Amino acid sequence: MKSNHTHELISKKRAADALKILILLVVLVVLFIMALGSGRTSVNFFDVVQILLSQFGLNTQPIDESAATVVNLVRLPRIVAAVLVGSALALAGAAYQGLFRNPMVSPDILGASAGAGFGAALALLLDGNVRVVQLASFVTGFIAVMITYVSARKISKGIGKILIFVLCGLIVGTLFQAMISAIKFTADPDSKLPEITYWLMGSIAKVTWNDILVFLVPFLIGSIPLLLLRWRLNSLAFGDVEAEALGVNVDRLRMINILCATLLTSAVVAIAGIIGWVGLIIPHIARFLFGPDNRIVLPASIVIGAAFLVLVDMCCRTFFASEIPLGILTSVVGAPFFFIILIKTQSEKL
Amino acid sequence: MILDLQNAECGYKGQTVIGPVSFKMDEGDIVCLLGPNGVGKTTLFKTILGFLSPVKGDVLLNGKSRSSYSRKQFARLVSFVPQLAQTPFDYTVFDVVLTGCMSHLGLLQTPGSEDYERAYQMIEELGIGHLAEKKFNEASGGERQMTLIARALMQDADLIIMDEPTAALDFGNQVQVLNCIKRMAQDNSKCIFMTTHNPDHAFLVCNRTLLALPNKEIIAGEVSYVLTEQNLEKAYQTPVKITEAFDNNGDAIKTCVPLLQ
Repeated sequence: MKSNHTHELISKKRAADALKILILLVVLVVLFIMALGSGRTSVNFFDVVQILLSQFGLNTQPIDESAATVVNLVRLPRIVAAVLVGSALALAGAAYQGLFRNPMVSPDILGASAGAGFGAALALLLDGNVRVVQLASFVTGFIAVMITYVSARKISKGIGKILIFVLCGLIVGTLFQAMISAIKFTADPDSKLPEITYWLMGSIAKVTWNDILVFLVPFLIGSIPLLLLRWRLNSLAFGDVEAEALGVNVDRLRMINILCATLLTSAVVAIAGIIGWVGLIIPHIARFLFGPDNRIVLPASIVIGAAFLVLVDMCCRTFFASEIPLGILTSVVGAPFFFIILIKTQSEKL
Repeated sequence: MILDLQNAECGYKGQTVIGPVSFKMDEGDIVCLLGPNGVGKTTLFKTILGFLSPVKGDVLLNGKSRSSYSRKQFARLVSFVPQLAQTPFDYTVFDVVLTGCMSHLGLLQTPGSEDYERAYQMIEELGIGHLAEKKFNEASGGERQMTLIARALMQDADLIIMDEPTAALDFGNQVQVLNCIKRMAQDNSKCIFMTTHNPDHAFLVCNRTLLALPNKEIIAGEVSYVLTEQNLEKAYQTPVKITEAFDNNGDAIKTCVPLLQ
């Protein structure tokens, strides 16, 4: 009798979660279409739908060719990039927060962004082409995290592993930040310095279909294992020792998660520069809507992250006379949001 | 024999902290580990849990040493009920209990309807069914302890290791947890190894006791053989008296009273 009641409660929650995910997906699609229509040349919502449909030969009505060019050639790759970058950062963030049992952790906690930024800055300084810049930033982002991971593994002896990981990440991140500054210092202030600075601010304005295809490889390799292993992250809630006692190979789980999240973060920096805060705040919104179970938090973060970045990118293009870099606006939105989270968590403790 | 310690000395880096100790546990056994702070109870504990290898001697589970089991196989034999703690995320009581089936699922599996059914059953049996959707962090000490016990039962291991299950609980909840421990041993044929700071709890539920002394030595055996006035005085460096009370059937229950100076 009682058991049925519990049963009912939980199946109700599952149905509610499914509905919420569906609503979020609808919001994402609507934002996606709105983003395609907005900008200097504004296109009506339903015209955008028709232009998209005619791409797949599903539309028989006549469409405005110049509007179609703007939507398909100029805006579509950029907004697809916003979807992918937003979901990659949010997923990596959610995985890291579960992994480090800390809701204040972001995907660059182990030095991925600083490392990737260094590689990009170096490649730009040495006149590398787009692919070289992307490859350099991806590789150095990965190297930075591996330095953190290997040193943390060597230093930590059982207890307090998480703190050691975070501290090692801090050291490595700061070191790479210093090297970025050194590169900026030596760069030509008229040509190279602004190029590097703008690149580091984060932008998806120049993303091409080729960039997206290249990005899809690390995106899929990184996100699929994270999604498949997401329930195991719940076991870490009470600490490594308890997770081990539950039968989880914590070291292996941590290694796989760090590898995948790093793959995602480095790939993002490689095509879009450093875009802060997304990986930190989106998982909070997901947990606020769905509770802490990582089975739902990770997929929800993907959808919310994508919608968030599409929205912010749309604001970047429409609110100001000249476009502002995406990374600036995500931080402007993210910082106050983080304050709200801090206040909320503190007031809950009382 | 589920758990078999043969002249086991426990410690770190080849240095013996506690032991040697020999004892065996089988279905339905409840063994209590008592001893003052800082004598290495945790070290012995970690050794049985498989986080440390014994410095000397053997710790055998179903006749085999820890190293012959994988993490997962081990978790199917031994479950752990830790001291009460908080989590940084707002998991519900049900979420926490459900993680107990981790060792029964493949690497990529998530719990299915059977696991859900079992989890409902566990929390109902332990009388916390009404708390299923309550946040673990907001539950009372007693409720959280029962949740962690439900998780251990969900793990379905023969041996349950409990780290001070009655610490930080009020008198009523202590009794509730002790009752639960007794039932798990009698009805579910579990074998329970627990630490406690209260000798009375050993008298109440245990059929054997280990008493760790400040000199690495461990006295093991029947409760009334181990927990004598002399031994307790040796362990805790304080005089105690052991007396008897009688339950409603007229059976004697021993109890330990410290003498203040």
